[in-house]
Amino acid sequence: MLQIDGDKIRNLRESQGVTQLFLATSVGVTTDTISRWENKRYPTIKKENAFKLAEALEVDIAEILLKNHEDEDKISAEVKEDKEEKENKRIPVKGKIPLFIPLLLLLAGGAAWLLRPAPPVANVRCRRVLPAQTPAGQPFPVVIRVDIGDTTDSVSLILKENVPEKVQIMRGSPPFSILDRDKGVIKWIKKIDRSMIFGYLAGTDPGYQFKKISLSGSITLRRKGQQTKNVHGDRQLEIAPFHWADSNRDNKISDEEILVVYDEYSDLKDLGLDIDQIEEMWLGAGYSFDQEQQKFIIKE
Amino acid sequence: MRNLTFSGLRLVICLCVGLLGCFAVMPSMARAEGIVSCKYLKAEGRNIELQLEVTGPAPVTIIVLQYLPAGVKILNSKPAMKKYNHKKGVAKWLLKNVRPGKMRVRMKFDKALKPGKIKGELRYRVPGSGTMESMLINS
Repeated sequence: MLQIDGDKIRNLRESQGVTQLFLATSVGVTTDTISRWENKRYPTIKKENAFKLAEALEVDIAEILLKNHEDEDKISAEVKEDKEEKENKRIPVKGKIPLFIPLLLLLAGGAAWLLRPAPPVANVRCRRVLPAQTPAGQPFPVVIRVDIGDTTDSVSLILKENVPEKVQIMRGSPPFSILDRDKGVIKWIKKIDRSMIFGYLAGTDPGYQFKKISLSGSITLRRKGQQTKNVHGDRQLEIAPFHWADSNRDNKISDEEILVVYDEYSDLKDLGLDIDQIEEMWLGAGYSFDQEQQKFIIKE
Repeated sequence: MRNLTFSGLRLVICLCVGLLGCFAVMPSMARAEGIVSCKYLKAEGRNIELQLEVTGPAPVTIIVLQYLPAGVKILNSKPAMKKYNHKKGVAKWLLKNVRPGKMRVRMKFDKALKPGKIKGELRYRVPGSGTMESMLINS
């Protein structure tokens, strides 16, 4: 266990405009826990959580640790003295230059208006693209397109996906930051410029009994004032004996369907999608799915 | 007077920001148009040449169809065609990783073709909207 500096954590978080929710999601704790850390109600934390916290705040771990109690007391006493000294000095100043105060406030206000920071990104768009169906036992791709709008700054975000029980998560592109197979939770923690495409390959057992697979997800930006938003777009795919690329289920891959495969899924090369096989289906006269052998048979 | 100057300054800044915004939007509007055009550079004889030109955001992939007169066969092509249906007289290409610029498809036939006897088709999805687009190419 390590002793942390709650004030330092709060100051770092606030100066960076980071929400408690973002820290909580990054570390894997609740916002209440973050609040307790900051308010020194939980003065010690697990070493691994301390590392995650430092990483989320983008500082060295030493910066968020408490040096020792004596030092802290000294610092507190110094700060207290300093405050008292300043307060004592302020009294005569107020009396001497009251006329300059409105002017100074006006100038400060003007400067603040001119130098105000860019507004936080508000138009984050996050859309999931899913095939209409997949046969039980076969893998299928999931694509999530994130667009943070026109901003010159890069933005850190957490993209979370919840996958139902009995659906296996195979590969991610980019690789997952956190993968909890038992809970069916995927997380990516990334810094992105403008837009990014996330994706993963999932699948079921051949004996999967359900008729549909439902997915849900959320996105949290690191910037203050940004709420967690749901991932929009496709949410469900059916279990049916048609290839995931055959959107109209006619046992053929049409010109439009092969173009959709390249448009929507070809960016995610790390997923290991068998696009060559889909191309063969497109060139062939049709296909069928053999459930027992778990393979697609292409008609010449 | 001081307030008036400050308001004036704000107005000037707003105008500048507005103008900059217009300049920023204008190129994106032009980019959004995106054009794929196609024509035969050579449409008779044994060697036929087709040129595609892509401006603006390019479709990821383009399908090229070449319809052939009855009894004519393609001996080879560059890039290599994906499929050649002798019965229907249709050859297919799948052009991947398309970028803005010009591309050429060259074909060599077993017989010389007469002028006006060849036609083709392009199929692609419009970037952004995903709408399917089909375009006939006449010689």
